[in-house]
Amino acid sequence: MYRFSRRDFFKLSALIPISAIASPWVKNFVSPKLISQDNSPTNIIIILFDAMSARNLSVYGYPRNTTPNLLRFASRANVYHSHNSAGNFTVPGTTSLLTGLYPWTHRAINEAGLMVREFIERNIFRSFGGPYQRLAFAQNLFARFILDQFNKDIDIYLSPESFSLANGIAGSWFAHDLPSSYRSFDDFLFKFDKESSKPASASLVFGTIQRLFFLRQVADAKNTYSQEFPLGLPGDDNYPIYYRLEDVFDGLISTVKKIKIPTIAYFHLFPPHEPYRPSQEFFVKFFDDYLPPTKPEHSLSHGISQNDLNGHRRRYDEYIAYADSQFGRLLDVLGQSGFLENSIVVVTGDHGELFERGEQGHATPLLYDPVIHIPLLISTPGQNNRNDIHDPTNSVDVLPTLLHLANQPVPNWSEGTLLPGLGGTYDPQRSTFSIDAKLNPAFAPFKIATIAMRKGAYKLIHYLGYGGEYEDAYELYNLERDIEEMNNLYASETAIALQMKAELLESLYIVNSHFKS
Amino acid sequence: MFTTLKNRFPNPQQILAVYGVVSLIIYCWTLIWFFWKLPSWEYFMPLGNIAIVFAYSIATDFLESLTVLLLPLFFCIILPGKWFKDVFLSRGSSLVIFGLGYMMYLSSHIASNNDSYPTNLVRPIPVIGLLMLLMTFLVGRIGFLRKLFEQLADRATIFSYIFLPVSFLSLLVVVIRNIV
Repeated sequence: MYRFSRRDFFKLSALIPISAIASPWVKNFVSPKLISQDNSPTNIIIILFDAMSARNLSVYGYPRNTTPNLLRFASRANVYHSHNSAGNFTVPGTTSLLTGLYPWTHRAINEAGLMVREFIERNIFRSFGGPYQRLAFAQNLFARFILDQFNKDIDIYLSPESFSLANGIAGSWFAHDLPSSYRSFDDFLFKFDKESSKPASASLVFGTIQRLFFLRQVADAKNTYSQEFPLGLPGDDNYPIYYRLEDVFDGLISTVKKIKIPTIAYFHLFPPHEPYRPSQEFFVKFFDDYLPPTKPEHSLSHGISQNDLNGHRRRYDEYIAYADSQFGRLLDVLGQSGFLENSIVVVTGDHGELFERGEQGHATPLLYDPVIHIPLLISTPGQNNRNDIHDPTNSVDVLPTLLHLANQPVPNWSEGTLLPGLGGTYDPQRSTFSIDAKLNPAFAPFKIATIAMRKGAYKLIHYLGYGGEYEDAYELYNLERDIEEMNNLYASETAIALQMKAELLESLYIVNSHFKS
Repeated sequence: MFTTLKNRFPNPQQILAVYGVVSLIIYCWTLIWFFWKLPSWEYFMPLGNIAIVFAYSIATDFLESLTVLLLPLFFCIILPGKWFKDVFLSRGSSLVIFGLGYMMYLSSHIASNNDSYPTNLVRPIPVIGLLMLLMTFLVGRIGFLRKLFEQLADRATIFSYIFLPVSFLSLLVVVIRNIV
């Protein structure tokens, strides 16, 4: 038997410096749990870009160079390549991210909708609780309505109009009753509802006068920045807020510099949501030969021509590039200040955007890949390598994963699982869902909805209640072989189609059984 | 001083009648929008939340209607009694009807400008304001018009009695929610 001599011991001791050098690398691969040298809690920063489709980001292989700064961030992050949102517009997408629940559970399924009251304590801010300072900012008022439901669990709110050039937000005047005042003033009394055939404010005198003052502010701001923004100032299409991304990111930078450790901060940024308004620097940046594949027009679409869709796509790409350039500034500050060394930074979206099959935007019953495929990049403290994960994941997985990374208990009510690479393992049998039910009442069974179910490489889309051929229809795609979803396999791959259909219908049956018909 | 000022005001019954006209227009405008939105709110908002929005709306309407009422009262103070105070029912109600009618026109046309400043709507405001004053003056001079507006104001008094108690209650709700 070999005896370990004193000489051997001295020889091996030469490896000590090597192990010291290699330890961070080893830590990243071996233990993706929270890497906190002194075992203290870590900051969590979630940066969400509204309506950002992963399909239009160069960090995910898009041919236009839209996101050089996200690519830089990706070099020290876990990059999820098949990450879907549970919803196709702000309300369900954001709520699922912040609660780890699917839309058919939390029921925030309508435009400007809310979660059912019995579940509002199931949110990321309450789950962190304890020593964490909890900070939230949403430029999108639809997201703000959801955050307001968590008001007992959030310590610091930044109002939606923070860092803006012009705004007509009135709800902020009532600091003690923000949820009701935003809803009453900004979603009703002072809102010029563009969906109405004759938009006007419900408050005849104050609403009209307030709007005139706001438009004066906007006109002044537009005059000042007309050279900088050839298509007009960036803003929110649904609510009266106009801003420059430079100012918004300056605001974020100063906010981040001031936060106490540990903090969980949620920043919900409106860009690149429509209207797409890049600054002069990015305007016509993508006047190139790139043409996406042409797809057949869908009968549930608005029938927009391919030419127009390509034009909208180009503006969207330019707007993404503008947002990315500002994100780069934030990233520099996070890096230089050492923030990335002790923080988990998440970059994601709430839903994507569609420019195909006659449809543009995301207010659509179509759940094709670009409208639900969103970015997810998670950088853990001190991470300095890129880790690409191609397994399908869903926005409901973010909450349990962040809690796990921060050594907090993962609640059993979460419908998500730990993300692969950050404590979880890929389960090919697991099904995830993306749901559009904006036309369905929140307190009733689903009778009009689109549900996309992802299982392994396959995606089954179920259309329910749209009448005609889409009264009860299915489509099946293999996303590994056909990411553009051109070949509907529902009739040809019947075994997998029927198996997935049965599972989807069973899930729907369970969900619907909680409600009276 | 107080007596002089008091003498310049019309009697409370007349003020209540003109306030009835104001509240009829302002409250009904909001209520029409409220009932237009209600079906979509019912999709996702609990009844309590809808009631709170209603309270905010009615409280806002109350403040709006008081603000609007100040305009004919202001004319009572600054103009000779014969010009306005003595024909307060007809001239006061016609003034608020023309004014609020123009507000409806403005409100309905602002949004179609796609967030551009509606210079074409704002520029004629002084001219239209003068025109409304002229029409108000004529209403007091033309017998059947004067009668028409007096009758209208008289019949609108009932709305003061309907909306005022609801407004006080709503205002109370808003105040309590903002101090507790």
